[in-house]
Formats: sequence, C-alpha cells, structure tokens
Amino acid sequence: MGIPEERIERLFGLAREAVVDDEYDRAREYVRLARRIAERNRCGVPREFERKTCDDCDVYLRPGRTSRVRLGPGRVVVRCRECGATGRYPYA
Amino acid sequence: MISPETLVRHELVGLPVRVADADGDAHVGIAGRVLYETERTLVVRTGSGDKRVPKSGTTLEFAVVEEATARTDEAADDGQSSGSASQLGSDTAGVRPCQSGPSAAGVSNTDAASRRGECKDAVYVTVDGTRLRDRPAERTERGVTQWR
Repeated sequence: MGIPEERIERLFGLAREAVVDDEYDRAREYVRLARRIAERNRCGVPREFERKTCDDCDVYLRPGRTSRVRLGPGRVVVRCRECGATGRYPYA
Repeated sequence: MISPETLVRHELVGLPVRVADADGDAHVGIAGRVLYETERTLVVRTGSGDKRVPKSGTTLEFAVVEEATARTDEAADDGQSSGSASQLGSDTAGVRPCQSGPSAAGVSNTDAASRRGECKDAVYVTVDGTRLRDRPAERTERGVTQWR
C-alpha cells in the first residue's frame, strides 16, 4: 500500500472520529481531502469509504447520527440526514 | 506505514505536534494535534483552543504515531506492534534523504507517555516547516507526479 492509500485510510478514520465529536464540517474536510488525494493519484477510495461517506455533502455517514439506513428489496438505502442525499448498494 | 522519512509526504492531520521554534514568539511551544492543513499553515488543536501556525519559518516536532485517531479501536494493537519494528529500521536510514530533513529523534516510551499522556510507542521527528509548504493533497507527489 502506497502513501496515498495510507493517507486515505487515515483520513477516513479521522472523519469518523470528527463525526463522533459532533464536528461534521471537520469530517467533511477530511473526506474531501481524501477524495482529492485519490483523484490526484488515480487510486480510488476503498469501498467502505464510498459507502460510509455522502456523495453530495461529503459528511461521514454514521448510522443514527448522520445517516438513516433502511433495507429495500435487494439493496441497502442510506440517506444522509444532513443533506437528504440517498445512496444505495446491493446485498445478496 | 508512516515513518520519519515519509512524514513530509504523509498525512499530518491527527499527528501530535509541538512547535519547537518559530519566527513569531507567539507560536513557539504550541502543542497538540493537527486539525487541518492548508498550503501554508497548520491548525493545531491545543488545550486552549485551535491555533493556526505558519509552516514557513517554524521548526515542528511531530510524534509519528501509527494510529492517528485519539481513541483506541480494534486496529490499534496490531498497528503498534508492526510499527515499532519498522520504525527502528527506518530510524537508522532516516539521515539519508536530505540534510535539513527528518532527523529522527527516537525518544523513549516513558518520555513520550508522560508528555502526551496518550501516545506511547511514538518516534519524534523534527521537520523544518518550509519543507511542508505544498497543497495538502499534492504533498504526497513530491517529484514523482504523473501530472504536468
């Protein structure tokens, strides 16, 4: 794992911690920086990162705090409680 | 993992830092965790509020911790055990990259624990802040960028 991937991992953990501390904007900064690093280094972000961050407002999605998780037919529906954006991913 | 010679290209957010020397007297002695990084400054969370420290003209002492988060979670223990071994090896090689560069100061665990209270198993690295002057996302690419 190279430095960019390690930085993304670290920022992901820090974003989670920022949400735990009720500092949602700080979490957004970390998520944005991680996305920018992925973009610059063409490495992408881990799947967990993709699923636990809001596509629209970049906040870390913590169920019960910043996100609402429901099961639809064949998919998990994650709604951001900050901005209302919906993300979906399949389950088998 | 993060080591004294990769520190200038690695993530600074979350690392415990102490301002060892600065052009402005007000900045000397600020200690805490890095909260944000901008191109020319670092924001440090201290016991008495968040302080913005310029990168240029300062000498910064980072504690290289394996786990950037303040809380311990499930990944903490295996990261620490693997990290201490690699840091010892890189510590000796750390003189190579550049002259002003990370002169790795391996401080004993007891000293680290007494100062920060939370980060044991840390290696202290003193860095000239001017070397960190780059956009946060692009600092990693130093010299080997595929753009431009």
